[in-house]
Amino acid sequence: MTILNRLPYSADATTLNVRGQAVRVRPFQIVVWVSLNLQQFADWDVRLPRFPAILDTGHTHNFSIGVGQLVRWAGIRPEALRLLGAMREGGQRVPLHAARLWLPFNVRGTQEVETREPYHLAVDDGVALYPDETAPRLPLLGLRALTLNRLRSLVDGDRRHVTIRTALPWWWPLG
Amino acid sequence: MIELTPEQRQAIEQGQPVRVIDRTTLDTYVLLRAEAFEELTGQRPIPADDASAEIPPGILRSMQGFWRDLPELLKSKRNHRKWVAYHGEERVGIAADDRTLIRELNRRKIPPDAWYVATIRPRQLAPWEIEEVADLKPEHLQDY
Repeated sequence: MTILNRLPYSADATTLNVRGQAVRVRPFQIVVWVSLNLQQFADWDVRLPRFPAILDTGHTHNFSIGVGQLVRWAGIRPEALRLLGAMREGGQRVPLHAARLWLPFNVRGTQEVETREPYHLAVDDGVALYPDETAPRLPLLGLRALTLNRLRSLVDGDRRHVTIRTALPWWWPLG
Repeated sequence: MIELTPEQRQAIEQGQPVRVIDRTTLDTYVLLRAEAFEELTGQRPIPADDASAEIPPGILRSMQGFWRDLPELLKSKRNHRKWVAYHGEERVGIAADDRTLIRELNRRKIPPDAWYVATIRPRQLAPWEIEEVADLKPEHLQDY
């Protein structure tokens, strides 16, 4: 199953509009759109807002987001997310919270999001919730989430797009 | 044989490194406790910090149930990468995805602060232990 199908990224700085807020994206940052919910809500809810995150395989955790982004963009109060523990990053202790992360399918070759139910990204170690002072500028989707969900990613530097798909089952036909 | 001054001994006991100078060569050396040296050189694992005091008790008990059973669960290859749910010491079930388990937890009306779900895979740290992850990079933090 292909989740992100030739999702384009830009060699230039761009600006996104997120809930009325202009957000700058640096050149060569791969923007994906995600939705977040409480872990105990097992099913997709079409009312969940979408917001951007940077797909960064250099980020070694699942998903990192600032408190302000969580409130403003995901519409979730931090205390609503169950506390699962903490991690240590750059000398600071960052709480990890249980959450349900959804990665919408894109319309092939575009940043446009499909209307069907997004792909559920399992993040059993939780998501890292940073205080605003030390939070990443944009939420980060890291390598751990790709690994835990056994996703395959391909960056086509020639055409400047990214494809993410689930691992093929063992019986997948050749050719 | 080096004889430590009381100040040097106190500094070492407080975990601080102590510099000593060879009067002949004027080379400087750093004295560390053997345990600290072994941790620095990777010969001894750094003791894990843990967050158990902050985790809601019901979730922590469920994590402990999971951690107790994990070695046994890993013995069966059929379990690998599946999800397991705990309510305290009780294993609620094993499923291919967490959504099935959470629907079951919700059906049983188990409150969210009393359960834990996790994937069955080898782990170095217990869920309540604190992992050190790679630092965020400057481009993640600074605006421009």
